[in-house]
Amino acid sequence: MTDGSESREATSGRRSLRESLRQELVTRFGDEAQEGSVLTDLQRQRIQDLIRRGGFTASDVLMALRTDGGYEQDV
Amino acid sequence: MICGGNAKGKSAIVDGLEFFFGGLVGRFRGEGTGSIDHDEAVRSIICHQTPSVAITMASGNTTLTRRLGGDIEPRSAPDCVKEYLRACGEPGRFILRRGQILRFIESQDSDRYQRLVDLLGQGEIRAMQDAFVRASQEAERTEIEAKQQFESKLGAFSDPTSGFVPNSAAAIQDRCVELLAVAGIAVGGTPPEFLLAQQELEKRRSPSTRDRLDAIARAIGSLSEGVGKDLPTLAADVESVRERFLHLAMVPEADQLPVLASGQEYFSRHEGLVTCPLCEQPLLSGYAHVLGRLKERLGRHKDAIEAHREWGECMDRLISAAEITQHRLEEDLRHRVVMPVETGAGIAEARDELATWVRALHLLRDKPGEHPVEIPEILGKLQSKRAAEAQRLREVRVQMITGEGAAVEAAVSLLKLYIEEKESLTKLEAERSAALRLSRRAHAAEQAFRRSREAALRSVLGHIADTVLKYYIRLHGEAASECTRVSFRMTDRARGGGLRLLIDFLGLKRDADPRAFLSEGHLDSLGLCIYLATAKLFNRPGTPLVLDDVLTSADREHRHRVAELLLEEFGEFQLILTTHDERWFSIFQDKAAARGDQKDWRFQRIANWSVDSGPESAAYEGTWDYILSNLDEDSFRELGGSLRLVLEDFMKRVAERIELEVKYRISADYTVGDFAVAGLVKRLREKLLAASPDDGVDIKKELARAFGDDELINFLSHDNPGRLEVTLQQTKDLVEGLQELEKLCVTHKLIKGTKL
Repeated sequence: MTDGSESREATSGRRSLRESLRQELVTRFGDEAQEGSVLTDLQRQRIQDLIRRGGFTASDVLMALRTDGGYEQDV
Repeated sequence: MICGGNAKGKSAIVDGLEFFFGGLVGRFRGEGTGSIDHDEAVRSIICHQTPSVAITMASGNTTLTRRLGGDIEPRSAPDCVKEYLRACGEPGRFILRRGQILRFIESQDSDRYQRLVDLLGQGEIRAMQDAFVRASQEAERTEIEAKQQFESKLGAFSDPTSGFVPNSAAAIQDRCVELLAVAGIAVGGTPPEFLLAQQELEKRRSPSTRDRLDAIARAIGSLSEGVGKDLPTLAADVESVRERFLHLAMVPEADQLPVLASGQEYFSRHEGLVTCPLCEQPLLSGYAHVLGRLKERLGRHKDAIEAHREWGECMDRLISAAEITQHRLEEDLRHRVVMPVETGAGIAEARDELATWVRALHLLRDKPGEHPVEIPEILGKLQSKRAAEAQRLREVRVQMITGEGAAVEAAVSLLKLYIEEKESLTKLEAERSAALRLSRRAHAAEQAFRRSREAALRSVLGHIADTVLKYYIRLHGEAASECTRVSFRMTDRARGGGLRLLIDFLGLKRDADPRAFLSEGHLDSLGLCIYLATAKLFNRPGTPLVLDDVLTSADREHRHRVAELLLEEFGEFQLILTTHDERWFSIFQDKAAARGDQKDWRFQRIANWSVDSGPESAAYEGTWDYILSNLDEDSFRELGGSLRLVLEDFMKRVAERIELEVKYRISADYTVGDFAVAGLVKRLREKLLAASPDDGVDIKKELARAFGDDELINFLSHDNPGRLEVTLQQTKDLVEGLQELEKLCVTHKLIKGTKL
């Protein structure tokens, strides 16, 4: 039987597919959101941070979109 | 690697592993198991104790046991063992049985999607998508509300007589400049200029009609502002949430949500959990079932709580809009003096009905979904009545103004309203613009995330498909591969998403269902490759990977390549293979030996299966433990092979120690007869008597028992008719004689090594 420390070592050496998917999502969102430039750089980065971290809500998304020349500044 | 014929108990060993790691044997429970009673099926039919499986870990020499309905014991196992058990996860992820090899290929698109995409943490990504969708919907709703409020305010400035319908504050300002020019006052449009212009116009107005005209203008302004336009939309939103409540058919309990959420998180972090962390009772229905149920309950609770939250928000918006309408009507009634009595009474009646409705809405807000929201009928015709009254007042106004006064009154009425309302007009316009921008951004973000999600999933699924194809080509070779491409295509036919498995066949047919084109053998290979690819990509190194007789006759020509694939790609897993195929067993051993990997493997044959003790290994059959446990009336006649093995082992070890000269055999498979011919018994007797002269009687007796009946072992061999002449006592004498001789030889250092 292999003990836990061995499996930890083996796992740490490679990125899981889930992490790959998350990273892929962050990168591709950056590319997709740049098209048409509706979002500012800062807004795009804030959203990418949310995706990277996970577990966010609609309010978090709207808050990110209101930053940097967004809703609050307009009103 | 375990090799054994049919009905020798290979699958029972895999059942044991599944039971140990998961608490149950899947093939006895669930879909397709009919009337099988799981607990009865895993129970021994002759021993009525609680079924249990024990596994000894090399690390720390820890033995863990699981009993039916219980957890793995002891719970005080070393951390590394606990970590190992967690890393293993559910048995379904690491045990592949023969009957399951086509499971993934034959699945429905939705099941395939669920199985594979769930491994990728799709639930979390779906939650992200939901957050973007909700954000976009919320922003769009805010935009519509802001637009309606602004347009309602603009309505006060419109003049159907002249056809002026403004769409912005700037348009009103331009109209003011225009009307002032007609009245003979030129201004640029700044606030101080407008104030000066207003003063100038006031001087030109007729004192006899001025106050009345102002009152009419204010009434027109009030009546021209839209009321209740958004009420139908908001009421429809409320109704939509009410339908969700009816569909969910549950009352959310907010207190349960954190419990369910932390429960799901705990279960997700502790794969393979077997005991409830709260009540410490065994998870009788298994980890996967409990986690699935937790997810479902959490999902429903979240939906219900979300619906509850949305109900509150929709009701608040509806109440707010109704109150604004009520306020608007009260504003109208401030100008009642210029209206006919019945018009004022009609507006007052509508206001009162509205007030009653608002009170009812406040009560309904705390009783989500109790009954539908119905807008008071009187509001339906209110807007047209107010518009008609505004038009009547405009006509009255026209009749009151004569000659050049018309230009002055047109300019002054618009200018005064503009100066009074400029601040709120500008604010509403800015809010509308900001809401529009936010809505566009939220929509763009949602679309960008949707595209990213699909592209990212496609990319990762493509990686899995590439690994499947890589393994498949390794088994069949590029030239002989029927399948030249593997892909997973996402479909949206199923409610939660679907995943289609497609192949290119011989480069001639693209995107085909593999079942329609691949031969049976290649289909099996593809199933095996899919399982191996997902295990390689998702399972933790160091965890078990069990293939229960999955190499079928259809794969015979490729079995050496399967061996290569397993040895090269899966060395980091604890591979356990069972097979009935002697040739495949032999090929695998040879491959492992040739690669120098023999030390990492154990090759075990199952010699027998009995109702008393289940599968018995061939190696065990050649041990003293096996002989002694079968030395009874029922079994002793089956001990011929085992006795031969222990006797040969004894003679070899003595021969080596006393340096007996034996006729050389190139195959080195020396038998009892070779040692007898070489005089081993005579030499051993001489040496024992010399070493212990006082025990001469016993030494001769034991030698006679062990070697005095040449035919006994032959008779006990299978299919020998003479076996029926051998008695249990004879056999016991031989066994005791050999054991006593072993002891004497050990005492006098006349034997090498240890006994079997």
